[in-house]
Amino acid sequence: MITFTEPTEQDIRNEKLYADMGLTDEEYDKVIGILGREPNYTETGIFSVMWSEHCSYKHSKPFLKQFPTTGDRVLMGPGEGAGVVDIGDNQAVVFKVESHNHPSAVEPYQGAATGVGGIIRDIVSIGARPIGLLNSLRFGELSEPNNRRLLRGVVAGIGGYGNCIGIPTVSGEVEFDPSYDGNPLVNAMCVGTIDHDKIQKGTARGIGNKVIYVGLKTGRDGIHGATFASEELTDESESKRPSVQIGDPFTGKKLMEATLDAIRQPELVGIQDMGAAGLTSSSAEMAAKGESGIALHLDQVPVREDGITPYEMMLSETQERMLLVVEAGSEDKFLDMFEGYELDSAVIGEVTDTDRLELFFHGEKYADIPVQPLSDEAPVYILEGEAPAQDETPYSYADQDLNKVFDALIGHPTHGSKRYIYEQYDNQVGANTVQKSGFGSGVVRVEGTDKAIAMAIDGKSRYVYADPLNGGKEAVAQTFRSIISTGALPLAMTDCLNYGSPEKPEIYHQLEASTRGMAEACEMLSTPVVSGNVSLYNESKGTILPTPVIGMVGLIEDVNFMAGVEISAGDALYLVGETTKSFAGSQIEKLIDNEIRKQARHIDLELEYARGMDLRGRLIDGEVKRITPVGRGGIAIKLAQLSAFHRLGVDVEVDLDGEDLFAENASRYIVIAPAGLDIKDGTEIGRLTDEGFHIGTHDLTIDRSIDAISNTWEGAIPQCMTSTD
Amino acid sequence: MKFAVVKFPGSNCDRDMLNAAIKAGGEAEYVDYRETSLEGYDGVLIPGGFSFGDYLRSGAMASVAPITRAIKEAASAGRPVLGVCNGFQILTEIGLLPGALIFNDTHTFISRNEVLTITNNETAFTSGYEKGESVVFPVAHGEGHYYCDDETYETLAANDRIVLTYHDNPNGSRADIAGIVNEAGNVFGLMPHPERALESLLGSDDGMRLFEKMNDWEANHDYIH
Amino acid sequence: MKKVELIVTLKPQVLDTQGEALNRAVHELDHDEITNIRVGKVLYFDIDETDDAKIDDSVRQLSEKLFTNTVIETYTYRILDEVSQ
Repeated sequence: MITFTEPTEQDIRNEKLYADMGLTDEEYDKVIGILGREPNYTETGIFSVMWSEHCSYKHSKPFLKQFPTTGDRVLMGPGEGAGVVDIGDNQAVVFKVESHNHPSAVEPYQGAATGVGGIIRDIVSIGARPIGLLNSLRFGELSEPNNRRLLRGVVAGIGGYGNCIGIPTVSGEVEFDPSYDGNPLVNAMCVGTIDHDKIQKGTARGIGNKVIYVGLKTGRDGIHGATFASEELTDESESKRPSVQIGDPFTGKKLMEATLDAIRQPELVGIQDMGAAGLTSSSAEMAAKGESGIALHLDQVPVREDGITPYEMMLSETQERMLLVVEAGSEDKFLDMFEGYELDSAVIGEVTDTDRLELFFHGEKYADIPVQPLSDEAPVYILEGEAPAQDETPYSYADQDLNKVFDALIGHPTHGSKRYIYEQYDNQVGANTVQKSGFGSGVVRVEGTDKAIAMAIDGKSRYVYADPLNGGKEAVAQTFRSIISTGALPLAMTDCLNYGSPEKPEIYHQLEASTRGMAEACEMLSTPVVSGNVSLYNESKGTILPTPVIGMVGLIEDVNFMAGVEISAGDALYLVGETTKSFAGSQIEKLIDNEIRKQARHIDLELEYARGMDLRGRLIDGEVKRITPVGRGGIAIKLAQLSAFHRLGVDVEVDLDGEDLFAENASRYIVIAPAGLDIKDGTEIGRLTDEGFHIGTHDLTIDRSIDAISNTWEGAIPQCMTSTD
Repeated sequence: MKFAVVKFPGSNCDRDMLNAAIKAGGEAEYVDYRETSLEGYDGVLIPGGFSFGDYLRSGAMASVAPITRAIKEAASAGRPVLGVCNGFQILTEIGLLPGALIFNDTHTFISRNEVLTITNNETAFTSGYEKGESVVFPVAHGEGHYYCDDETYETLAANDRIVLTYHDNPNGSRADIAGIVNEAGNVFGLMPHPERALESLLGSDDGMRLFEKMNDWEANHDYIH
Repeated sequence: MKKVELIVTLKPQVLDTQGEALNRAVHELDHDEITNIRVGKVLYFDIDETDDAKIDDSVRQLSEKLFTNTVIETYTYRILDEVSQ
């Protein structure tokens, strides 16, 4: 018999070792209540990861419950690996966004790469073939060498994984703000398609059915990664570096193909990715969903090195692994199939009628935990939020040198061209990418059809900070606008809630109010939430801005309307929507005031929906050529981006004050179309031209050459990145 | 024409390549890298991707796979062999084309639509294009810098074996080389992806003529020196 | 059983972009005394053979067939200690 030197039950209690693993005294007592005895070392580890914020949502559950999760098209909502939404013809779209913030802060390349790998496996475990990847990134300002290092590493990591596995990265967004110094956000989203009858669930049912492990051999990587993700980053985090997992996209690709093959086999009962908390969460969650027990024989688990203990095996976050439950008697068929893909696999256990998770190692029992309480009785914490004082000071930027503001904003990495980033991602593999990164959402055709899926990701943290409730609404609405701008019907969304420590009353208030706003927007815009992820404790040098990131998909019934649309000089420009002195959370405020005033923002969701649907109809009918939402930096920056992207001039006059060019009201679009159209709430403001960039207002004119605009916009990120450090 | 699309573990443009051959009117099937024969196929397509994860060196492990011998036999029998991206890297690794593909000068992956020049339209692959014609194919690679020594370059240039060049060299390739053929003219390797350029909806349909001409190989074979 | 260390580097005439970037970075760190950085890779493996001539034969064969691309790369190797079985 093999014995390991591990702390005893008494050591764990007396030395409070459970606290090192992330359990509080109360949680430890609750574990004793569930087990009817003190947990041993392996069991303590299992409870600590299952009850971590990352796996149990113990601080966020009440907020997530507000979200509408059903709808005519929703086939599967939150609770599984990813959400599933009907797109007609017996097909469905499967998608989810997930964070990998903490691992990326410690090791940007591997942190980002494994984030991409993990979200892909979530989609694949539903049975879907991935068709597109997106990412939402946040870094501190690129003037800091460490932020350049993080950007470089994260982008290379996302590309390194996605390019190799062969899924196009078709859209993304990034913002640079000092609040993310030392605490970058890396949120990755994957979208796949599937036939209705292939949809799988992560469930373990049928007494005697076999549990199969497939993928990379288990090593000691990422032990306690889920707990790590639920802690604040400190200088000590650097010393936790060995816990970072290593991605292997080559094995990931083989595993993806093998999984999609396995899903076609009638003997497959359930399947789940071994993601955060690896074998622990996959086995416990599958057993809980199947209302069964599971017995695992850990000596059968393929391992990379000798001497790995049951504790380490259960908590390892080695990448590229899946757990399957198959009908008894069919296991050899699956093992042979995996052999054909040159993947390691083994039968490591069976489904039992005990309702317990039982772990054996060479015949000796290492854990015996009732499944339901482990999975479902994680503590839920409802805390008190505290709304901060409002600052009603009115804004005025009329005295500023607004021409200088204009140049500074288009030359800032947040608004400049993201070519440096997206050209490192293969955005066309699969030969179905209709619209790729560069300007707007991604659009990927559904193989063999005329349908296409529009996919977008966005977050508006400065608005959420200024006004959590309305900022939450705007985060959803902004992503809705991106989908509308492709001509797609928005179907549903996924979210990643990136916040600071919920134990701080102001952060708790941000979470509470912004999710309430998001829920209201989902309802009003008919975009239910079908999957999501929560990342709290994003605190390093300070607290990050509250950053709910919204991923949304939309359906285009016939994508061919997008062919042959050419934007050219002579086209008219329309501004749709009202512009007022809306500066709370704006980019001009960031530039001039270097802080965010806690002041109300405004959005009318009914108007948002009606306007979106009206413009979408006009785009599909060919009445207008292009619609694009007005976002960060306001009208001035949107026009500059249009000019630089198309390398055309603009000649625009607006009936506004100069500072209003930088106002950031919600629900606005710039529309490119033939002149003379009557668009509801729209004003024709000028033309695209072959020469020069000109905007005129009551008290300000901005005149630039097309080259000047383009060079500043194109150079925004590269000029920061050319420093070698 | 019936084409074999050789599939290595880690190939990821295999389906795009198969679709391209079929769209051009041909037949196409996947052939696993563990096979040892390409009997019954009129041509061979080696798709892009990351065969064997690009571990060690792109194309290195594919070059010693069981199917390699059959690819060489097909080439020496005069059948068309097309290698795109990783397929080009594999063709240089197994010695069917000279030179090597090394890291892009930027040392980053580069993915974008690239304007290319058809510098030789007198091959059976490129006879559908005008000499000097500009075409747009996407590129997507990390190791696409074409390297060869002076002697090799002079041979390639003297024999008109440089078929495709970049307008705006993305990777540092010698003499802007994007694609070359072997001496016999039946093996073509290129870094850009013509199989992703078959429809204007997706940005370019300039790749279609390449596959159409390959599918019309017999009628075209005068071009083979 | 012996352990072999095989070092693969780009041939001197082949541009080593990684090395160039490192050279620049090192100089920015004010270490002008360092120049000519070349980046290579190293492979370690065990070989079930004790005769140096036979080891040389195996290592050369595999290096030229798989471990290196002789168009751009060159290699050196050395035999390390005995490996206990």
